[in-house]
This record gives sequence, C-alpha cells and structure tokens, in this order.
Amino acid sequence: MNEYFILASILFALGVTGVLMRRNLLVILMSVEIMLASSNLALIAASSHVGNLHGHIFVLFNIAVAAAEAAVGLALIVIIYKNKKTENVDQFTSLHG
Amino acid sequence: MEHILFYVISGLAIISALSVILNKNPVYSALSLVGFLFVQAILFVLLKAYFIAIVQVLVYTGAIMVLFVYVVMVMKLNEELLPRIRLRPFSLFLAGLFASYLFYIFSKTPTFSHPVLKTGDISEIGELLFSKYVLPFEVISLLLLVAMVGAVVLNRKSKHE
Repeated sequence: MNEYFILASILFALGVTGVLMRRNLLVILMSVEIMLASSNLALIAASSHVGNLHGHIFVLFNIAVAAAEAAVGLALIVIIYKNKKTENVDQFTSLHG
Repeated sequence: MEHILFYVISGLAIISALSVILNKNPVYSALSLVGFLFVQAILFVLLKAYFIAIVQVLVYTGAIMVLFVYVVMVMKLNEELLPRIRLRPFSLFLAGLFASYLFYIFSKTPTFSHPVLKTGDISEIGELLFSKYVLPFEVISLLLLVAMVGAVVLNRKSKHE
C-alpha cells in the first residue's frame, strides 16, 4: 500500500469530518473541495504508478468540475444568505412548519 | 531526501486540512484552504505531475479561492456571534469508519514496485486530451458554460421585486 494512497484517504476522511461536523455552509463547501482535491492526489499517484497519463487527464476534468461546482454552489449560498441572513445549516427549517 | 520531503509536506497538508475544518471563522478556513491546495501542488510536483501542479495553483488557488474569499466578504461575520465548534462524536465515528474502509480498499490494491512514468510531459497530455479524450473535453467546456450561465441567472434580480 502506497503512502500517497494513505495520505489521500486521511485527507478525504478529514473532508468527510468537516461536512458532517461543521454547521457553516461555506465551510461545508470547503470540505467538499478538500475531498475533491484528495481524490485528485490518489488519481495522480495511481497514474504515476501504472505508468500512463490517463489519470492526469482525469484530474484535469476533475478540476474543471470542481470549478463549476464551486461557482454554482457559491451562487446558491449567496442567495440563501440574502434570504435567511444566516449561513448556519441548523437555521434552515422553513419546511418544518 | 525525497522521503523526508514527502513526510514534511504531508504533515503540512494534514495540519492545513485540520485547520480548515476546525477554525471558527470562515475567513481563516478559506486562507487555510489556500495553503492546503498549495501544499497539494507541491505533492503533485513530487509525483512529477508538473502540468497538473501548475493547473492546481492557477485554477484552484487562483480562481476558486478568490470566489470563496469574495463570498466570505459578502457575509457579515461577527466574531463574537460565531458559534463554537462542537466535536460531534457520531460524525467523528462515521468519518473514522469511512477512513478505515478506504484503508481496507487501498490495502487490497496491488502494489507496483517503482514508478514507470518518467515525467508528466505536457505534450503527451495534450496529445491524449485532443485525440482520445476530445469528446469529454468538449462536454466539460459545455459544463463550464452552463455553470457560468447558471451562477449569473441565480443571482440576477428578478423584475417583480
């Protein structure tokens, strides 16, 4: 088992912890970015061990998808903040009745 | 030498990721995320993926983090009103379970003795990108266009207000 894979799984678990633990929408989105970035690390490590460049291409696509996700997610966060005046996830209880 | 560098850099990566999820103030979290992505670019250089490292710095730390910091500035953050971080034991347990499952999967993957790849040559990446992966490339450009239009439409003021 390669040390890069161990590092990538530790970082991914840290991202999962952030998503589950934090209540701030922005920090949750940042934790998702951590998870995406750590999967990039695992892909590059696997690619350099197999010996071809297909993993690098996949990482390029992954970065583009992360950029799109950040743009749309941050736009949604701005709208939610304008409507609710808070970014705490526990306060979003409009459906509670 | 390379091993020592790897351990130092990976320690830095774990510390900066911890500082992202444990900082009370989102501004500090965003700045720690910049550090994290930068450290990860160094790891890419260690893996000889030079082009990906440059793209990481340009796109992630350059473009995405500017967006994050901009949105943090939009929000009115009062240092005293920020809630304390609670370490939820159940979420820690779930993350630990997840990490152990990942370890299990990676321990079952076959190991390769040494890296075969000499360098992540940019001309080879370009050749692959525009021959075998040309359709996904076009699709990803469409995705970026849709995301851009979506972000603009979402934040437009409606006429009825």
